[in-house]
Amino acid sequence: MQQKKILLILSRAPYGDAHAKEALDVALTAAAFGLPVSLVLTQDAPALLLKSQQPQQIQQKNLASICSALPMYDIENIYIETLAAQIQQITLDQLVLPAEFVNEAGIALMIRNHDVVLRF
Amino acid sequence: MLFSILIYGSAHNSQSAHTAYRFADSALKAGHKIHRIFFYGESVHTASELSAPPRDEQNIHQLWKELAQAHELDLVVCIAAALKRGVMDKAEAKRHEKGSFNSQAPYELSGLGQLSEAAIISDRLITFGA
Amino acid sequence: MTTLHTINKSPSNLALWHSCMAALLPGDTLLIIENGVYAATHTTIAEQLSTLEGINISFLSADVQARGLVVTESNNTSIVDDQQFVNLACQHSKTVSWF
Repeated sequence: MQQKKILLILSRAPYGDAHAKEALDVALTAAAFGLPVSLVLTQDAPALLLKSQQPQQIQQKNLASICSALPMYDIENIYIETLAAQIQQITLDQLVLPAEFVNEAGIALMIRNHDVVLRF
Repeated sequence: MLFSILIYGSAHNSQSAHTAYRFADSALKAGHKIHRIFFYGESVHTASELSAPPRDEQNIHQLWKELAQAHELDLVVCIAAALKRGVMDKAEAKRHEKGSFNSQAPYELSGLGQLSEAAIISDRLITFGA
Repeated sequence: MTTLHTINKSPSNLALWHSCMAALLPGDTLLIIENGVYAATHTTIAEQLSTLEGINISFLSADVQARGLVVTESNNTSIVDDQQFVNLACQHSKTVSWF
């Protein structure tokens, strides 16, 4: 059977609710199943990759640390939406791992080119 | 067509579990098959049989249970999301040394891998979001 | 390889609606469900929906009725029931849910 390509589109910021963490768990599990996973961070989600995160006082797991493990799970196609990053004043050098910018038209094409799309 | 359904909306504070139910019911009536229903995030509360809504209100736990029994559906509840929120079956209650449990068949606690497997096996995976 | 998009939030969630509409490609269907159906009476979103070319816009009948709204059907806009929702999911090769 032809392998299905999965696209995960994340839209939520870390910590304020469980969505970002739950989405990362889906990404890691899908990758562990051998599925090719691409990740796009839109809206509030680019902040997930900021290496400056220190969530100890709010007793949460550092989501940047979880994100930094993504390449070990062969999740290397990681994109952040250009406009979302601009609005949040996020630059690539602030991130825990290499990511590429993608604009809205690029996201539309990515949706078309993947077999399964999950949004969180 | 073989469908799987991911329910991600809150069981009692969002319409999504019921929209998903209507979708599943319609798909079955049209002769399609459903490989799996996967409850994730806040939707895991759907699996709690201790939910007791007023008689004249929708009972989402019961609706899914009856549909599952009528069509032998695979109702899988994400185990990590469920345990965290106090939704557990007898085996998990024992493992975690809890005095009671609130979930049983046809709801089944299992890992997120069941969602990946559903994505691989099914012709369509449709999400009903928060 | 077209996509069935669903959106279930009211247009007051402008960022979500913006992202969703930007992700539509010709041949796709946008099925508007739950609180999303308030798009039918939202001045700016309704206007933007009517200008999308090559995109089918559908409103889920039960949700429109429940909220007492009126949807005007046109060339690219229709009202669908639950059974047609299933048909749309079959006709498109994948679904994306905006919520």
